[in-house]
Amino acid sequence: MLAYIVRRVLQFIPVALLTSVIIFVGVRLAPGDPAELLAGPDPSPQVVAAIREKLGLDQSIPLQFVLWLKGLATGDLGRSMVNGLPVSELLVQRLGATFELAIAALILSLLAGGALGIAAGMRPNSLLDRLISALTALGLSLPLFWTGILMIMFFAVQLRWFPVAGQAPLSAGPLAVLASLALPATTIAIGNAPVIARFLRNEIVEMRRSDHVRTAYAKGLPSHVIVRDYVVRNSLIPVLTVAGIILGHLIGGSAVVEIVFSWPGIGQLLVTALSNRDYSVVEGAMIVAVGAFLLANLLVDIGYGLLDPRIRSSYDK
Amino acid sequence: MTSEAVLSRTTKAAASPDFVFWAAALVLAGLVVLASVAPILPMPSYSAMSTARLASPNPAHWFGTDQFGRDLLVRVLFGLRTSLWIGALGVTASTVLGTAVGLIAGYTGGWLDTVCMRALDSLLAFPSLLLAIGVAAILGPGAVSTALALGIVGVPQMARIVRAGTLSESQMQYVEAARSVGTKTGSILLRHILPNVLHLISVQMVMFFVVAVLTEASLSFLGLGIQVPVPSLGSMLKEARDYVGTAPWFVVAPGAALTLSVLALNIFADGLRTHAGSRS
Repeated sequence: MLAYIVRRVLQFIPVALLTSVIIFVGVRLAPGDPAELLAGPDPSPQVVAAIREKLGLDQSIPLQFVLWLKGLATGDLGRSMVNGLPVSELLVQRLGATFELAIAALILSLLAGGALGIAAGMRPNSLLDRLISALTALGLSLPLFWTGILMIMFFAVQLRWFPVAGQAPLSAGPLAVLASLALPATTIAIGNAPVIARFLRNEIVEMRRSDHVRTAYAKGLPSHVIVRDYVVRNSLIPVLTVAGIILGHLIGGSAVVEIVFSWPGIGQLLVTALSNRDYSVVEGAMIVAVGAFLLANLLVDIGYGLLDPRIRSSYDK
Repeated sequence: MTSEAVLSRTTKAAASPDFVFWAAALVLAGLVVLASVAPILPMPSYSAMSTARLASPNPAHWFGTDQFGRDLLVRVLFGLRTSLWIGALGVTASTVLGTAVGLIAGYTGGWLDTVCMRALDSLLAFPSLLLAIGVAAILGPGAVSTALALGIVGVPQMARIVRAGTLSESQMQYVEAARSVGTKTGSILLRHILPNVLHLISVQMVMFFVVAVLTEASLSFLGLGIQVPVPSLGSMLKEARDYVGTAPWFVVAPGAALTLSVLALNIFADGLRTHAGSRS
């Protein structure tokens, strides 16, 4: 098992390094000279040069990269070019909001996706299965920003059940927090529950055909026990891994939903920073989003290896 | 099984009846035809403003009008045209690039293969919307850069699929035979291997088309894609967002058109994949 984990972590390092190179180079390819942006309108060349020196932009690109990596390792990502705040501070602030939304969305996705998946998987090719299949197809096809706007239109503007946008602070009480979470989390869940439902359905259909389930039937176990202990439980293990991947995806991937609901998360930070050409913030937000995605994948793979000995052994060959 | 393998199984739907597949194909064909003939239909221009601002759907404007009094039906049709067009360009770009990389990496093997695959892995490490946002930001807004951003997003998947196909095809006797009579590598790749991995490419093209259409809409919604005054379903929704309380039809029309096309594409892609799966 240790060999598997070590090997998987070793695979992670070059990919993580390469992605940071891509982000670093990408940001430097973006239009606009940060030194000139910082210097304000009509700066003298001396001012621009001084700023460039202060930011370390006069160094060679490889040296800049090494210095940047060093900063990354110590948590120093520079300062926002717009408001001068340390980027790491901004990211930590925003990460809380993003996590809150991601966790709420994941819980909703698991509940809805789980229920639909089990219902469909227990009666494959029945009317119910087809209905759920159609429903999941619709969920996968809805653009999340449209779902979000529709949610606002019906539940916030017309019915006034929930706030239109924004995140309620914890001090506003649990009810206000949940109310502000409800619409964005449901929006994300509408896009992700179908993934879980379809996956779980296929797992269950396969599991019910497997030898150990047939044996359980043959030895006369009551079918609700078989379903609970043999079919559903075993099918849930891989679902957890899907949930992990979805969670990793949501850290940066919910940018569009965060924009629709003015949710102060990493995605919104990234998009605003892009339109302000605040590149140090763009860099930081990208690193966090991609890092979360990579880390989630790594943990999912390790978790999978822990739970399923067959995965481990295929690596030991 | 790695996380990618886990995910590749997730979106497989329950086998839908044939008529659903054909209905989706029909809707898709209808949308393509509507989008293609939009410029020659007897309708006002998509940028023609009128005093009928934010008019609700009526006999003169079936889908209503937007905040400048522009006809929403016309704008939705042209937005659909943009979506399909940019999506198709993105798919073409990713197919050309991905196929080239996949064929060469899979056939050559060795360090070149390793380098290519590691580079593609690191692109796959970006959630696709983030990658598109990043590339679009570097290239600047506009139709061409949006299509290119979509192309880059699609390269890793396409290259992986073509590489896997190439790897298994290059073990085949017909390839060995071609090599033994001295056929040039380029000719082996293009005339012998490529035709045999074409079915893999075509399924991936349709599947990526869905992603491309949705991603273009998201980019345009964020203001990083297609720019005004060219209508895009995404940028129309960006504008419509300010009128949720006053003009619900403005929100409904572009979103419904987008959802309908993506839904039809999704069902079509699923059917195609099932068909391809049963063939191999």
